Amino acid sequence: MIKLQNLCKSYRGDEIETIALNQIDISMDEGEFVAIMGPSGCGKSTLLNILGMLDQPTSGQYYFKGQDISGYNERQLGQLRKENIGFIFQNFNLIDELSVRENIELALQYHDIPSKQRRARVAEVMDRVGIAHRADHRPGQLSGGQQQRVAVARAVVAKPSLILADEPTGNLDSSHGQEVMKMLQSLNREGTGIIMVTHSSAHADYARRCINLFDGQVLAENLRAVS
Amino acid sequence: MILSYITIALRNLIKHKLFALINIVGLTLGLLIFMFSVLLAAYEENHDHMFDKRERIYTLASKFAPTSGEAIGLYPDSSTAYGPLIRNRLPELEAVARAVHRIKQVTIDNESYYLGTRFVDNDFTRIFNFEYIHGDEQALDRPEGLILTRSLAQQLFGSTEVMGKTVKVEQSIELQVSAVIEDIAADSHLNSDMRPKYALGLIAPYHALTQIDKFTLEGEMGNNSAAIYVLLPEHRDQAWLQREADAMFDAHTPEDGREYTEALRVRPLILSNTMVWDAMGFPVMIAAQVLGLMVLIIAALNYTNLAAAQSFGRVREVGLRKALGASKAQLLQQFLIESLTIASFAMLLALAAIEWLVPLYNTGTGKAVALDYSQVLPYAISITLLVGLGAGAYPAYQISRHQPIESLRGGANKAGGSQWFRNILIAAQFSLSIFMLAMVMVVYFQNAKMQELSASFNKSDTLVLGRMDVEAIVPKQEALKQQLLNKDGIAAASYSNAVPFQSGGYRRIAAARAGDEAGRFDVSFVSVDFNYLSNYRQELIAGRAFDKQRSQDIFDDSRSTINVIVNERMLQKLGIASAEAAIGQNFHKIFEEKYPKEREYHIIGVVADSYFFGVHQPIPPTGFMVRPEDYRFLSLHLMPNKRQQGVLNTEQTWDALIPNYPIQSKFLTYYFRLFYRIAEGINAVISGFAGIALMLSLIGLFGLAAFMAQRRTREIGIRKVLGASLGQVIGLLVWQISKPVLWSVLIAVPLSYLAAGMYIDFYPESIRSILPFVAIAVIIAIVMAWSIVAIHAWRVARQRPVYSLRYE
Repeated sequence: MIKLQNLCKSYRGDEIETIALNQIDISMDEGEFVAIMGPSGCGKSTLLNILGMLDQPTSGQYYFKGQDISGYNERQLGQLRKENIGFIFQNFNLIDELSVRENIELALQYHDIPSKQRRARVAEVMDRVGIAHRADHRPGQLSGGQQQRVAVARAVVAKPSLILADEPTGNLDSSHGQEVMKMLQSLNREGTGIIMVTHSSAHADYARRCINLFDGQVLAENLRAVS
Repeated sequence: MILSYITIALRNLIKHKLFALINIVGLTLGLLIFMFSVLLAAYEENHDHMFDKRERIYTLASKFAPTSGEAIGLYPDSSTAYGPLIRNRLPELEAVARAVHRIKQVTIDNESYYLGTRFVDNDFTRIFNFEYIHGDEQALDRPEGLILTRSLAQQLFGSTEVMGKTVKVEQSIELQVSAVIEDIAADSHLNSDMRPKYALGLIAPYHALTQIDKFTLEGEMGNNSAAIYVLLPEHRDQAWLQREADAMFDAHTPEDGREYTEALRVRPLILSNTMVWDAMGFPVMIAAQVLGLMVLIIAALNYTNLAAAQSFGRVREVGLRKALGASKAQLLQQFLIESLTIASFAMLLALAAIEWLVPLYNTGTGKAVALDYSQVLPYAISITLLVGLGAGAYPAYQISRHQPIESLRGGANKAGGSQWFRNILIAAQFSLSIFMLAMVMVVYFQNAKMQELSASFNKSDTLVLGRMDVEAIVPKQEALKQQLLNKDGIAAASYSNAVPFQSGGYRRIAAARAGDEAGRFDVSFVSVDFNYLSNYRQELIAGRAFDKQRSQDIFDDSRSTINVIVNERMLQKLGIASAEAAIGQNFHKIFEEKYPKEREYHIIGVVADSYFFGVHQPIPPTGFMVRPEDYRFLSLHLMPNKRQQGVLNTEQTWDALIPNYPIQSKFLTYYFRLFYRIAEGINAVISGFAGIALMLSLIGLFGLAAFMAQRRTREIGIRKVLGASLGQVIGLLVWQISKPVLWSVLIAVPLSYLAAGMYIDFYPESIRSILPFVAIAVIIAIVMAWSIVAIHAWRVARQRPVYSLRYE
């Protein structure tokens, strides 16, 4: 499903060029659960942003479902992203002015789905993540765990084939973190591919495969026993 | 510490150049307008400060009756008879003096000039304490005395040592210089009239006027010719004088005089210079100050908005400072010092601009406004403090109130006050923009309309020679005309007692039938020569032109029937259906005490209506007659391509034929402009303020749009991650600003409709409908708002989502 070849990302500062990613070669099959680990500043988030088409590589190839998308413009990327990828962020990135229900529905708003069907899907997914009783609350009125559940609901409501999670448990206590991981796991079992950046080795254990990054390079790739 | 705050403030300015520019330009404009309006008001209110007794000096103004047909309600002068009447009625008054201003021919050693002269009662010098170089306040106690100002003495004699020198007035009487006074500053009512030759130069005894004009010492009723000054005793006040003036008016004013002037108004001298505005019902000084203050408040609000928007970028800095131990008070202090730095910077720029503006204004208006720093500086400093602290308070409070961890985490989306507050700001900005735009357009098109209406007279190719009624010139009138007609560049010439826009001629009361008091109406008569109407291209629509061969066409005082050509308006008044039907009809003069003669007017021709008496009043019923003894003006129609030649030939011919009298020539444009100086003043004030306020509200809108787009950077990022396209994001933001914009349309439309209606009510002939202009203003404002917001949204939304998400 995903194949990165010789992918580099560098930032040009005033005087020095910082290399964030250096010749990355990764591939991932459909429905896989991959964890990306590594110390701060190793390029995890940059990699995830590029995988999610939020950012573009400086050089190298990115094949998504067989197409080389490194030359795609913003509009084409947006289309691809909308149809295939859901996001979960460490800081949830919910819109404060919208209610829980509206935040989730937002992910469907930009798809061509009739509003009746939209509402049904939002209700279904809220039930599933157990946030239905808070449907009309604002994100600011929820706990961190509840907010992340909303974020998960928003990520899955459009039924993407791939979910990108950037330290989804980073702002949560362990029991809430566990909860979110369970959700991701069950999604994965239903066939959704997941790429997750995490610091926690315990949470990385939920993944089938773990990629270790160091200084912008892949240090090791190892398979995990799925618990 | 403070120094470091200022350094940070300056660095921030440099970092956000666009915002800094907007902030400073906006604030500078606001301060400039406010300071300038205060300066002008102070100047006008401190008028006549050179006269020690100015607090006790009052003038008697005339209040016109509604039946007078005058466009203004109040006139600064009143009839000459009221001076002696009030003097005799109230012996306790310290002094009363009339001053009649006339432009007279003054001859010194065979050199003649036309000079503005004030003919005054001898107590004039006891009311106004002049500074005497020679002589004293008894200068005019002798009937042949004369006072000159220093500059006039220099101009006429080349010296101020001119006591006892002889000055001949109107070639008929001789006066001797009995005093020379220092010039009076420009900020005296004696010098503030915008008309030429009104500045104080010559002061002659009232007695002299009785010898050269039809004036008597005891004065006349109904001439409104004199400024009447009254010096009140210490223990009396304006209300008392008003009561006494009312009683005197009732006791002495003849019944038919009251149809024109219905009362006298006692006014303090210090208000005399704003009288013109008051008379038009336009409180210009208050308006200027209120508008100035409004502009300043808008500018300060703009600053507040922009500063609040900008502070989002600094939430992290604040969090860090707090984490490092800064107290809330210290942070408040830092942000207030920043806004003070900007305000001071803006004030410096504003003062520099005023330095540049004041001489420009003085040249334009003939005033002498001065920027006196000893007075302005304390004021400027307190305004700077007020604006800096006032405008900076809200953003400073907003940003410093957060918990440090919140700020560090990025509470950007929580800062910035309520949506409600911002919507009100947007709506207010918008109402103002629409209002100002509509007003500017209405003023502009109304003026264009006036220009168009006045275009029936060729203003720039018509040269008008004045003072043709001087006794020594009258015998040479015909010779002058014939000689000029033979000269190159002059196409036509004709005499009259009035020229377009100069509001000359005279008025009589007439009716369709003799003695019909109920059907009476005012008629304006103009005395012309045979070619006048055709030379001015006023084409006949019926009947015939005046004919030299027919003796009845020339006015003869001994005959009771006069042949006249009338305008269409006259036909309406007479109830005659068509121009053809009017030919051969008569109408009648109604008896007036002053003009007792019976007259019958016989219509021989009809001309189309035109704005002969100016565009400021409805076209009156008008009659033209040939009456050579009235001629005061010679209108010369120059060939457009030989104007220079025509003017030169005119001057040469005049000098050869009438060497004793200087030529008095003006283009018709001059009379038109003279007439419009008041309207032009109002227009300049309205357009000036409107233009600046509009600019400010656009600046404000720009800031608000930036605020909106920036505040929602992260949200835009999220929406894009979820699949929103560029167009969808822009559409969302544009829609959001549309709500307050729609509110503002609801406020601005009726408001501008009302204000524009009031404005065009000043004019009898106005642009037909205001609504299209208001509609266009609404459309322009909305389109501008949308495009500003759309541009900002586009700038933020086209970035890769990762940058927007990172933005806090």
